Amino acid sequence: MAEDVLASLTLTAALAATTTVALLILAPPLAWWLAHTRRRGASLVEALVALPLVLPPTVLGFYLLLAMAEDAWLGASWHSLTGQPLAFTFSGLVLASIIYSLPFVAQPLTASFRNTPTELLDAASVMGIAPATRFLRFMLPLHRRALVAAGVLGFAHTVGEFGIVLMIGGNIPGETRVLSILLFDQVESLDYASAHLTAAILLAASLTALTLTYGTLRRR
Amino acid sequence: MSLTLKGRFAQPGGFELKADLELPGSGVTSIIGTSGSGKSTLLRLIAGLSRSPDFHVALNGQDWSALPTHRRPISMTLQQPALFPHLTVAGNLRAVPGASRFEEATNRFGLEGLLGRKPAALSGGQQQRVALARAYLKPAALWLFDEPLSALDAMARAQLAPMLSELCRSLGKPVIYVTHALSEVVQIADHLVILEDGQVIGAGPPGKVAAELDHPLSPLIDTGAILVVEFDAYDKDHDLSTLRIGTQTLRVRGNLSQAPSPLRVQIPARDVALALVRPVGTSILNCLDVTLTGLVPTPDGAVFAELDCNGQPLRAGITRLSQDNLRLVPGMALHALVKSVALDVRGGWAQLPE
Repeated sequence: MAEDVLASLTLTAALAATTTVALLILAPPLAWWLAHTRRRGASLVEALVALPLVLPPTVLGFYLLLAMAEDAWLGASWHSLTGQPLAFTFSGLVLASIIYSLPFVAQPLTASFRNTPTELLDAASVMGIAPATRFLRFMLPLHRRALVAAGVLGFAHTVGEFGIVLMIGGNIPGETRVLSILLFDQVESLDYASAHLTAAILLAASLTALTLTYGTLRRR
Repeated sequence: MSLTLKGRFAQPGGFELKADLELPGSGVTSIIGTSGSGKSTLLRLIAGLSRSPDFHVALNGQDWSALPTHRRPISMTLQQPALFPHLTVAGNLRAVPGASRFEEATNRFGLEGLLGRKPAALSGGQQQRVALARAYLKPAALWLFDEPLSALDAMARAQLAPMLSELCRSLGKPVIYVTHALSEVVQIADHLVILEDGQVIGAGPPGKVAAELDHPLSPLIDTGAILVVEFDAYDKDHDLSTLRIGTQTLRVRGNLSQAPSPLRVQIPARDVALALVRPVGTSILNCLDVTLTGLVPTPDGAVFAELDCNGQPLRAGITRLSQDNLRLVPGMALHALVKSVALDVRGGWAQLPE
C-alpha cells in the first residue's frame, strides 16, 4: 500500500518535472513572440495557448486520445519515430501535460515580457547586440522572477492534473497512475485510510513547494 | 564623407517627417527643435530603430536600408540611460559585443568606484555616464546623442556638459547631437539643422542658420543670433569678463580667461531691446551700436528687427507698437540693449546680469 503511494509519488514528480523543463524551453520564445509581434494571426495563437484554461480537461483528453491512437496521425508518427505507442504511456502523459499546462507557463511570461521597457530593447540594439543574444543573455535573466513563477505554476498545475490523465493515461501502476488517480482509486474502493495518506502528501507537498517559491521571490 | 538623409516617414496618428539632407561627415551636427518637431524621430531613423521603405540613410554613399540597428556602425545614447537593471555597472559595460578599451572608458567617465554597483544605486548623472561609457566601448563610425542632458537635474547637467563637449571634440568621428536647447551645443556645433513640425526649416553653419531663419520660432528655440567674440579682460573686483566684438565689448559674469578663444555666444532675440539714444541710468551693462538691416513680421504679431553689429548679425524681438513708436526704417543707427548672453563655459552657463 505504502509502495503504491511511493510509486505514484515518484511518477507524479517525474511527470511534473519533465513537463516543467519542457515548458521552460518551449514557452519563453513563444511568450516573447506573443508579447512583441504585431502580426494578425497572433490573437489566434494566443487563444489556442489559453484554450486549456477554458475547456474541460475531458474535452482535451478526448481529442488527444483520438490523435494518439495507433492508427491516428499523432500516434502513428510517434510509433514510426520511437517504436512505442503514445496512448496509455508516460510519454503520452508528458505530451498531454505540456499542452494542458502551457497557459500556466506562457501567460505570466507574456505579461512580464510585455513590460520590458522599450528603451532597454533599443539600448541593446544600438549596443550591437543581435536579437537572439539579446533575448537569451539579457532578457531571460531580466525576467528571471517571472520564469521562476511560471515554472512553479506549471509544475503545480501538472501535479494537480486529473481529468486528462484519466482520459489518455488510464491507471497503469508505475506508468500512468499519478497521485491524483491513486487517490480516486482509493476513495472508489472505500480505502479511506490510504486516501488520507495520499491526500495529505499532495496537500503538504504542494503547500511546501509554493511557500518556498513565494519566499524566494519575496527575498528577490 | 557625408551622411545622406532623404525621404519621408509617416507615423500612425498623422505626423510626417520629411528630410532631404546632406550632413557633413565630420564634426558635430546638432539637430534642434521643440518636442514634437521630429528631431528624435530623425535620429531613430538614422539608427534604424524606426524604419520605412520611403526613408533612406546612407553614410559615405553606403546605403543602410537593409542593415538592422545592431549591424549599423553607430554609437548612441538614448534620452534615458537605459541600463540593464539586473546587471552591475561592469556587467552593463561588458555587455557591449567586442568591447575594447574597457579601462580607458571607466577612467574617462569616472566609473572606477562604481563598477560593482547596480543602476538603481546610481544617481541620474552617474547612470548617464555609464551609458556614455557603454557607447564609447563600441567601435563606431558615427555617434548619435539623443538629448543626453534632458533627463538630468541642473547640477548633474553642469557636471556632464563639459564631459560631453570634450567627448564630442576628441572623438574624431562625426557626431549627430539632438537637443531642444541651442545653448547646449552653441560651443560645439559645426553644423545646425532646425526642425519644426517634421520639416527642416534651416540647415548650415550656426551663424548663418541663426541669421537666416525667418520662421516663427517657438520661444523654446529662439535661436536669436550667434556671435563670435574674443576674450579681452577679466575684472576680478566685479567678477566680470569683457568680450570683444570687433571694436565693441560685451561684459559677462565669471572668469573666462581660460575659455577657448574665439568663443561663440548665443543671444536670444527676446533678450535684445532697442533704443534710439544710448540710455543712461540703467542697470543693463551691455549696449551695442548696431544698424537696422531689416524688419521681419512674425505671424504671432511680433517683429524681428534684423541688426548688423560690426559685421555680425544680431536680432531683436520687438512689438509692432515699438516699431511704430521708434519709427524704425532699415539703415537706421540704433543701440541694442542685451539682457542676457548664453555661453557654455566649462559646462556652466554664464548669464549676463540684467
